[in-house]
Formats: sequence, structure tokens, C-alpha cells
Amino acid sequence: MIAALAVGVAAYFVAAWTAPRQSPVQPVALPALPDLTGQPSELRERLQRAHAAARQPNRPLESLAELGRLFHANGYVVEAEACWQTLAAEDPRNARWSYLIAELRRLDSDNPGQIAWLVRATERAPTYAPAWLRLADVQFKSGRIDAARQAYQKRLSLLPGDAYARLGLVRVALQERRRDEARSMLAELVRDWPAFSPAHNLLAEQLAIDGDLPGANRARVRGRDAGRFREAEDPWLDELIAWCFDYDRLCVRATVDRQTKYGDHGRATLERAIALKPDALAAYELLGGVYLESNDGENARRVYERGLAAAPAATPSAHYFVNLSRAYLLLQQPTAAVRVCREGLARLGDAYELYDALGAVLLEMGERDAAIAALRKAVQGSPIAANANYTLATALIGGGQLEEAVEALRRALAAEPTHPPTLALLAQIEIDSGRWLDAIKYLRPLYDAHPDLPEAREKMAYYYRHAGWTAEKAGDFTAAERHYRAGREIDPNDAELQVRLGVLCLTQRRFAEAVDPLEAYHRLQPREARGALYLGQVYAATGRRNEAKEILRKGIQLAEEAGNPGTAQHCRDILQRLP
Amino acid sequence: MRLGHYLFLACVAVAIGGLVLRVRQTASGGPPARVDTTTRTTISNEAPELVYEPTPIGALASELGRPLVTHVHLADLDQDGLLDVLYGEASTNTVRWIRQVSRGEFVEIAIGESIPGPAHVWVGDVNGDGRNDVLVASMGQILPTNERIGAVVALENLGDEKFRRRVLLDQTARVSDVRGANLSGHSDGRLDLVVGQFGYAQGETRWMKNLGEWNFESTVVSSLSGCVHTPVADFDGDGRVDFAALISQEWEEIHLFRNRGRGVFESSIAWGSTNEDYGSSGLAVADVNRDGKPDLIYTNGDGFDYPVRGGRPWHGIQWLENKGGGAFVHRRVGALPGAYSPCAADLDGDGDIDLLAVSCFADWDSPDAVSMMAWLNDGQERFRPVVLARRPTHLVTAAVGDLDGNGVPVIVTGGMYAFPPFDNPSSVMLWRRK
Repeated sequence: MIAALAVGVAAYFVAAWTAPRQSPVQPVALPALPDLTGQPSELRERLQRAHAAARQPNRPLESLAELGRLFHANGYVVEAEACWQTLAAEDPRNARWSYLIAELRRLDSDNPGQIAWLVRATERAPTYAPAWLRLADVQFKSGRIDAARQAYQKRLSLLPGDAYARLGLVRVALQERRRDEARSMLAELVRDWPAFSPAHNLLAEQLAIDGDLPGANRARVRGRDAGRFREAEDPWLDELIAWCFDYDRLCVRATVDRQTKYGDHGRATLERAIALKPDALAAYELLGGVYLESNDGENARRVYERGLAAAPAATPSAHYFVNLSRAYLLLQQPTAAVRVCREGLARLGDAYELYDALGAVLLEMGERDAAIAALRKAVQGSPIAANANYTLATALIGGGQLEEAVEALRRALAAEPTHPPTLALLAQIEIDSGRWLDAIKYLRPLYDAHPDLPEAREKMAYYYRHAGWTAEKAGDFTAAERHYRAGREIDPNDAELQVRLGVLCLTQRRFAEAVDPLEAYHRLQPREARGALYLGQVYAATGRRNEAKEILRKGIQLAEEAGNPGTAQHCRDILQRLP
Repeated sequence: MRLGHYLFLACVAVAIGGLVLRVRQTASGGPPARVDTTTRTTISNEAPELVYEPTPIGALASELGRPLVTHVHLADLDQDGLLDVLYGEASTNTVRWIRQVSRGEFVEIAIGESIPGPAHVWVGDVNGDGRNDVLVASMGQILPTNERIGAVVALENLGDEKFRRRVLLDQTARVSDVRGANLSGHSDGRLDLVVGQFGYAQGETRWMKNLGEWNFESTVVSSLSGCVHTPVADFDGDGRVDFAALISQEWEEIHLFRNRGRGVFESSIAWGSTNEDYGSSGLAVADVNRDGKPDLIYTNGDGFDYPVRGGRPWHGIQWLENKGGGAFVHRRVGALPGAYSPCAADLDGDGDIDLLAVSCFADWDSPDAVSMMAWLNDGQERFRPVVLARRPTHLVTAAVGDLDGNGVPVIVTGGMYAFPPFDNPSSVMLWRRK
């Protein structure tokens, strides 16, 4: 027996040694069709056709590719991989099959597998730039920084100036603690690609670390305004969407397009989803949202109504009705908007979102009491709903119920501490009550959170004007100057802030410091004689005699035209004293 | 020929024997189990082996309206030998202490009020005075925003159930995690802080050196947005405490910060996904394979930013095996749509480390949707999924500990009902094994 075993083992090794070397990629048996119960008929039919075609002897590669695309695009990953593996074996020079296997590895969180297949893909298609980016990214995330750098640089050689490769190289630099270099690269990147948000966001952080807070704030705003990050274009993967018949995947894809404002924002994809499942509401809701975002009330209304008609058995969300009512508001049909809200409430029961929307519409229609009743119910359902509390507050203020309004506004801030309309309204309440200095506790967070909001800038500038004047009257000129300077930093076009700062410096005989604000004032108010007078004085005091003479003569003319003989005389007096 | 016959017959005998064995196994298997396609788990027709009974503790869901429990943490805050539950609740902006006053009896008090968006709580003696304090990560608001409204808040324990509120950092990117650790080698009991700041478009990870008297000095170690959790451990075994950072948003990476001493941290990437929709949601430390090196357990299932909520096929749980020297190997464990809050404990009492996660985003209209799942370790780090609960839904946080003091792990969960459906709310639930 032992001798027999030994012979068997020896025979095995001989056979193994003499067998032909096999390719590392082996064709895999054609996968069986999975259970397609519940799948759309078009997908079932196309899969069955493709599967039958792929089973034919001497079938063309394209028939198996068709089958693979259908599997891949619809989430049948095991079956898709079988197709791609077979194609990779039968058509080894075609990089696309390796690339698609790499994509499946990516979704399976298999980084080593992804790297291996991407290396194959880049060997076979060295000019397909998306493959180099994916390879670089997965190398970077696997801690292989040098390999990542090389792949990013390869992509950059194929696509000079490419934002994604440059971002990758920035991250390499940061990882290697070359911060100064990274910051310079980021500064160039945002200059070349102003709509590439991750660059602004990273730059903001680097500037903050370096203590450049104003610069960091500006970069933050640009990063926010540049929108969401979108992955780089990848034709070999992007084309798969045409083979997708999966309702949820289409909705997700459309959502990404909408959130990144890409193409038609997902409209066509959502229409495909609707065609696949006309009795499901999610795609209608998403598509309606796309139209609302572009203020297209008619198309939004049409889509939402279509959904309700096509899916009578489905239960819409509260937001579905809210958005339909918004569509009617865009069409200036508030009565219909009210009707929709009430229908939603009848169908869904007490939903705070619907009471909120109903209250807002009623308030616009002038039905204050009914609006307050609805908004109180909204707040009862969700005490921290910022919008509902804000709208309730505006309704209450209109009815003179200030105390309850302020309580509602405070609740709104508890949920969303930087809710802009709430902060602006609370600040205005303080200002209207004469409590200017108390207004800053709302104005400051409003401005810090939304420095680009015109209302925020205007109110902050107004506050600083008032604070500065109050300090001046109290004799605290240091504080006054601080306020004026802060105000003009926020709004350099506020003429009053410029002139007050200029005059303050002038009266303190700090003539050189008075020049800039007074020049700004004269630029903003060129018909104001007093501006010419003040500017003439500081020019004279700083030795700029010719400019002083010119502006004072202008001042005389402006004062006489305005019927202001006193100012005209002051200008003459100074002019006469000039050599 | 005789030799060949012997060999041939031997092969045939082995083959027949295997076939018989397989038939017998199949015959004893009973009706075929079905596959839950959402979690890719096989649903056995046998009686479940792990059954948990939930009991609400603390404020009821009905009192909170739509609870927004953000984080539950088990700790003996009053050092009476009984584990308590601490949690953050964002609809009331409070931090609450569910105190175990006697074994199995719980009383809740709010110890931190008006803390906007309390996202994470942690218990430890920060100032070295012998009393456990509470650190709170304040996001400012839980729903997405880029405003710099985050804060690190400490509730200094003054004794007698009194706490003094101290704001250690504010007007910063939204803070999602803060915990104490002795990073600087203090000998007086002081703890430094590790802070994760999710932000939104911008964010940070930092550590704060404890200078004493509640004064801290900050150093930013990462300028990436989306930091979710910052667990601490001596990952490289050099005797100094390190920390990791789970970075989500478009980055989807786990960063390691190895403590080199004297305030120097060496940063590396332990692992990352190139799927920018991966949905990183939770990171914790556990020695999964019991080799003495702290591993990382990690969930991906986030769905806060999706108009179409629900799971993705790649959502689930994994662990990163610590190979030493800062190297980790990714090991996928299983799928769970909307997975959050990875936990580790010996749930079945067989001596090895099992894993657990909850789900906050799943297709809740489906009766098959899972809200809590365990993965039982066979001792070789091969994991078998076991569904523990399908209701209540929207569970975003979980913790496991020996609250009963009998060696049997008890699970505590928290629900977050920011999105519909709202018909099965829970606030804080305690789950005991039946």
C-alpha cells in the first residue's frame, strides 16, 4: 500500500511538471441566470437573450460583454465577474475587462485585488487616464505613497493640469509633511479650477492652521459655493448606466447628478426609473425636486401629480405633499397649495412638515389666525423645527405677540444656531427696541456664518456705525475707531462709516490715516461738499497742496450748488491759506 | 495494471465515501433556509440561538417626541461599582445620565443642558481629581451644515451629582468625537484630549494637550473633513497611547496617529476605500483575534446625506487586523444596510470575540429589514451573521457591557428618528439575552 501511494505521488508530480503552463486568468464557466423574479421585464428579456447568445459555440466576444454589462449594471456582481474573467482570458489584450473586474473589487473593498487588476488594465491601456487615477487613489489609501505619487504623475502626463491628479499630489505632500509645498499647490489649484470644491476646502484648513483666518474664511465660502465633490469622469464605467434597470440604482445615480449639478441633474435617469416602476413614488419625488430647484413650478407640479395618479396605493411622504404645494406656490396658486397640504394631512395624519407648509401659505394669503393655528401645531409636533418656529414668529409679530415670537425664535436657534432668517429677525427686534448693542449677539453669528449674505453685511455695517457713534458721544474715541474700522472692513461701500472714521482721525490730527477713508467717502459720495472739504483739509495737512486746491475748489462749487454757504466758506478759508 | 487498479479503486472509494457523507448532511438539514437578500444572510429555519429582550430605560420615546439619541456610552460615572448609561439627545440638546442606582434599577437625570447637537459622550477623569468627568462633542446641529458651530464641552464632576460646564473649544468645525487619553505622559492623572471634527465641507482632527486648570493647547493633525470617531489605544505597542481617526465624506479613510512622544504624532493611512459613497459610520477598538494587539472594528452605512435613504450593497462591518508596526489588514465581515456603531463582546459565551452593529438606514417598509445584527466568531475569526432585531428601527448607536454584573453582556441602543417612518421609535433600550 505504501509503495502504491508513493508511486501515485510521484506520478502526480511528473504530470504537474510536464503540464503546459496556464494563464493566471482562467475562463470561468458561463454563469447561470440568477432568479429574476420581480425584475423589470426588459431586464429579464435582455438577460435571457444575452445569456442565450453567450452560450452559443463560437459566440462573438460582444455577446458575453453584453451579458456582463447587464449583470454588472444591475448588481449581479458574481455573475458579472464570471463574464469579465472569461473575457479577460479570451481577449487578454483588452484592458476594459481587467478594469471592470477592478471596479467589482473596489465595491467589495478588496484593495489588493483592485490594485492587481488596475495594474493589468494600465499595462494594456496605458493612455486610459481614469485607470491611473483609480490606481493612484487605491495605492494612496493602501499606504503606498510612492506608488500613488507615480500614478498621479502618470495621469497628469496624460491630462495636463488635471484637478484630481493635482489634488492627489497635494495629499501626498501633506502626508509627507511638506505643508508649505502643499499650500502652494493648493493655491494654484484653486486658481486653475475655481469650481473644484475639495481644493478650496483643504486650502481653508491650511490657511487656518497658518493663522490666516480671513483667508481661511474666504476659502471656506468658496468651498461651500463650489458645491459637492464629484468623482472624475470615467467613460468605461459611466456607460454602464445605459444597461441599468435597477430602480434604486437609477435613483441613486440621479441623486448624485443632481447634488453635483451634473448634466441634466438626473432628469433623464429619473424618467427611466419611473418607466421601470411607475407605481413607486421615490423617483417622482426626486424628479419633482429637480424641477423645484430650477423654479419650474409647472413641471414640478406635473411630475408630482403624475406620481399620485400612477401610484394610488403608495403612501407619499409628508415632503411629497410639501413640495407639491411649493410647486403650486411657484405657479402663484396659493389656494391649490393649501388644498394639497390639507390633503396630505388627511392622508398622513399630523405631520409637522405639512402644518409648517400650510401655515406659511396661509400667512402669505393674509390669513394670520389660521396660519398661527397651523404653525403652532407644527411646532407642537417638532418643537425644534427651525423653519416652522421662524414662520410662527413672523406671524406672531404681525399680530403683536412679540414675547411668544421671541420664544419661537429661540427654539429655532436651539435646533439651528445659525439659521439666517432667525438671526436676522432677532437682531432686528433688538434694533427696533433700541437695544443696538444686544443685537450683536445675533448679528455676529449671522455674519460669521454667512459673510456673503448682503443682509448680513448690511446689518453688521449698520451696527458698527451705530456702536461707533455711541462710543464717540461717550468720549471713547478708541472704541469708536475700532467699530468704524471693523464696519468698513465688512462693507467698504458704506459711505457713512468711511466719513466717520476719516473725521475721527482728522479731529485727532492723524491726517495721514484720514486720507484713505476720506478718499473712499468722496468716491462713494462725489456730490457731497463736506467730503471735499474734509479731504481738502487732510491733503493740505499732508503736503499735497495741488490736490488740496483742486478738491477745495470742487468743494466750493458743490456747496454753492447745494445751497450750503457755510461749507463753501470753509473751503475758501483753507484755500486761501494754502501757499 | 494491478497498481493502476489499486489506485483507481482507492480514488473511487474516496469519492463514494464523500458522496455518502454529503447526502447524509443534506438529508439532516431539513427544509432549505432562505437568503435575506438585503443582508446576504441565510435565515435559518431553526430556532434562533441568540434572543434578546428589549427594555426601555431613561426618558421614553413618547416624552422626547421624535428621539434623536446620538450616542450611548457605558461607564461607572459615580464610581459605585455599577455601570451606568450616558447618552446625548439632540432633540432636547441634553446629555443625560441613566444612573444604575442599584443592580437593575435605573434613574435618569440630565447633567448637561443646552449643549447644541451633542454627538458623542465619554467618561473619564480629565483633571486628575479622582472623579469621573464627562466630555461632550457638540456638533452645534446634527443635520448637515458647514457652519463653524462646533464645541468641546466638559462637564466637570463636582461630586454629589453636580457638574460644572466648561467650554474647552468653540466656534470651530462641528465636533463629532472627543475622548481623553494620556498622550503626553502626565503623571498627575491629567488627560489630554483627542478631538474629531466632522465639520462638513471642511473639518479637522486635533489633539489638545492638558496644561492643567482646564487649560488646553491645540494641535491640528489632519485637515480633512468628515472625522467621525477617534478611538485611542497603544496600537504599535511601544507604551505610548496612539489614536486613529475615521474620516468619511469624500475621503473614506482610516488614519493612524502614532505617538512618538514629546507631542509628535506620525500620521499614516491604515486603510481607505476608493468608493466615495462608502458611508463610513463607526470605528472602535477591540482585540478581535486576541493576539494582544488592539484591532479596529469599523462600520459603513451612513445615509444622512441621501434624499433616497436606505442601504447600499456595500454597507456593513469589517475589522482591521493589527499586524504590528502600524500595519493593518482589512477583513470584511458581513453586510448590513445602514450599519452603525461597531461593538465587540463575547455574546455567545464561547470565549471569543463576536461583533455587533445596528442599522439607522434601511428599507424600513420591508418587514425583513434588520436593525441589529451580531456576527458570531467561530474562534478563527470567521463570522456567522445572526439577526438580533428588526424592530425598533433607526438605531444609530449601541454599546455592550456587563451592566448586570454577571458576566453576560448586555446591549444598550439608541434611536435617531430624523427621517421617516416614525412609527416605531425608541429612545434608549437595554437588551438582555433571554
